[in-house]
Amino acid sequence: MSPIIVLLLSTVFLWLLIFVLYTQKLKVTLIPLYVLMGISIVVANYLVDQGFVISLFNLHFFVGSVTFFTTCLLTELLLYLLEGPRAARIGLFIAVGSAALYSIGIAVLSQEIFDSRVIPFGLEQIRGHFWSIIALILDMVFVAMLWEMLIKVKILPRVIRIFIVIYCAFMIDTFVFGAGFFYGKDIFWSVIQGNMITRFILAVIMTPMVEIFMKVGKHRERVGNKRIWEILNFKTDLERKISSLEEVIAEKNKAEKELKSKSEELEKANAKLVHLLEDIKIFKAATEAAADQIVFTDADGKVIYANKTMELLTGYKRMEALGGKAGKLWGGLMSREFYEHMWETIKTKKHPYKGELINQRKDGEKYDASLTISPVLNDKEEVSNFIAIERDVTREKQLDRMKDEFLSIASHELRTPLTAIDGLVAMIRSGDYGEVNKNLEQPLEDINTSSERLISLVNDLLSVSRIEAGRQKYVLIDMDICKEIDSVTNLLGVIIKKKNLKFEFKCEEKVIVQADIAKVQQVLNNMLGNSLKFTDKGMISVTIKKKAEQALILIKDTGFGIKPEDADKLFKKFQQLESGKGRPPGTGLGLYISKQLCKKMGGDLWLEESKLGEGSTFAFSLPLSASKAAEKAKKIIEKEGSNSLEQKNSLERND
Amino acid sequence: MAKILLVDDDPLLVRMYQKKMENDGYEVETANDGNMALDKVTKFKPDLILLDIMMPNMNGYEVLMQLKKVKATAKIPVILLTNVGSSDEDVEKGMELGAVAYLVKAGNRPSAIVSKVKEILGGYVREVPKVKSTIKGE
Repeated sequence: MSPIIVLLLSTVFLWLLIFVLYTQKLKVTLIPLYVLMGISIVVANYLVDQGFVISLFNLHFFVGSVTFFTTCLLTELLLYLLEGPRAARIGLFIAVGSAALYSIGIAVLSQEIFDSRVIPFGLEQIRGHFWSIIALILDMVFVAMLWEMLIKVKILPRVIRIFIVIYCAFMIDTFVFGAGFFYGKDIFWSVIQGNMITRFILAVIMTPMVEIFMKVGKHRERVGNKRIWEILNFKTDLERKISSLEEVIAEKNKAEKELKSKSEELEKANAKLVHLLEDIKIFKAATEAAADQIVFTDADGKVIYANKTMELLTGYKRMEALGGKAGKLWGGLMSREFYEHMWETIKTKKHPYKGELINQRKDGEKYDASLTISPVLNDKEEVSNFIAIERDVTREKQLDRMKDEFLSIASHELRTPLTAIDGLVAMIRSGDYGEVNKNLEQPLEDINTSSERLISLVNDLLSVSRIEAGRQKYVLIDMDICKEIDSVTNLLGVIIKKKNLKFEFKCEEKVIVQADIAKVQQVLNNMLGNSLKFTDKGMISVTIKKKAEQALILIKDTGFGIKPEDADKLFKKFQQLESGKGRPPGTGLGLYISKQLCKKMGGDLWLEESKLGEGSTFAFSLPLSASKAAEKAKKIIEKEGSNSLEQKNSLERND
Repeated sequence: MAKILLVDDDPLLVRMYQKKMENDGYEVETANDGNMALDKVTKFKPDLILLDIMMPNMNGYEVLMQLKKVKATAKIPVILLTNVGSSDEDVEKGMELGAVAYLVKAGNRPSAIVSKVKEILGGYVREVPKVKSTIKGE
């Protein structure tokens, strides 16, 4: 058979094969295509492979049927990589067509026909076919890899990329197949060189064809990375479609599920919202019903809510208050510093503010108010709102004032006759009115004791009322506590001697505390007076210790002692403990007052230890000068001082 | 002999203090309200004045202010002798107005008051610390 006829027949066979495949394209994967190709190559090689050799310029341009198949396969593979399976199959037509044209051209030009069947079938032929198949597989893998690499080099035009891939693939084919078949033969190098040229021509023909195919078919180049193994494409288009459909369905199901869970969440949120709304209703009802004025503002102090009590208290209607500054409702009677301090506390420091102030109603009437403002913080710890709660305390203030007035008048009125009694008795006893009848000495002493008690009771009551009203004034200065103890004990020295007690006081180092001298004397008088009162024999000792920021003053006696269960009662008002027979009871206010005074000065007062019948140790502390505790006490007292002054001033205006 | 003007609206106390001072050798003149006190000051020319605060017509502070205004009386030492308040503010006010001492009657027996008078007439002008003297009355 003429090799040209064989070539044409084999071309027709391929066309038919491809046609069949194309009609079944949805069902066929590339795998049977590869298999069919492989089989055809081997069969055709054996049956019809007659090489055409063109000898020109001492080179052998060797062409065989294998070349067509290789060309077809490569083109097909390339298109697949470019576009996907469908394009690859269409591309086969082009590939095969071009290969056929090329072959015919070669056949016409051929000068010598190389019949491979001349070479007897044996090891050598098997070797040749083996290498041609290896070459094909390597080609496939190489083309795919090379393409995937080139696809990333975007600057290269597609045409160049296609050409590079095709030509490189042919080169591999040339070397592997040529080496496999012709290695060791005389014509080996001339075959290799010849083939390099023929394949170049083939690549030049194929490249524009592929490019034209892409352009005409308006095929868009596949973008992105394709994993190498995907070139094997195990799935048919149908399967692909189905799987993509499945994917769509799965996505839909997922979305549905999400939707369901979202709607469940929504329902839950809704239920919560309903609860919240109910809560809000209740809270609103509560704020409306509150006897205190309740105002909510935004972060700038603009009113966003005010309850009914606000109308009653300030005289402003709710409509007038909403949207305006909350400060408007107060009347602005206080000093600028007062409001600045308040604003700084709530806005800058974000602390709640609590204080008392004088406000003015819309009609100009003034009233005392107790005000609490709490900042509300959002997630970012920024102030989002303020809640102001205000109460009219005019009545309470009036009562307080009346109580104060009553106390000061009462104390004056009580003190004057007491002064006369006390003074006169003292004068009588000291002989100012002549010699005293001996029989009168005891009753005069008793009158003296009684009047002393009454005077101290009145004084204590005055102290308590002043402390409780916060009107006690303190002048804190640095003082040597040892000196004060010395001077107080000197005054008490007479009684100590009279009772025949031992007294011990040692001050080894200077202890400078920050305190109010008068108050310290009052405390010392009280404490030492108590010790003296309850101690009949033994000793009284005073010791000073430094502990942290405080000076501790311990007053120890060997007196009556205190029952453990009574220890708590000691510092309560009007508490008097069983003090043993024959002892005049006190007012029950001394320890209470002393403790309050110490606390206010930044210290404290307590019962250190006591045993009934053996004695007691009381202790009080005062902050060392320039310590933190001292600074703190000073600040508090200064603040209160300015507050009470302000109150006084505004009250005067009010009156 | 030092002359003392005793100003108080309570006759019992006036009598008592007068007795004590006279026993101690002072020449005592009394007044029972502020107006009378100012009147007596010019006539009697006391060396020292014991001045009550709470009085009808003119209170002690006002009397004190009047005294300090007039050159002739401005230098007479004045001891405020009172049962009012005795809080620090009261004391401060009295001292600011120019009193040499502030004594609480209920806390100072006649003998203590006399010693104070002696102390001041003996040349002491003011006691330091100022506050101390009031405390014993608390």
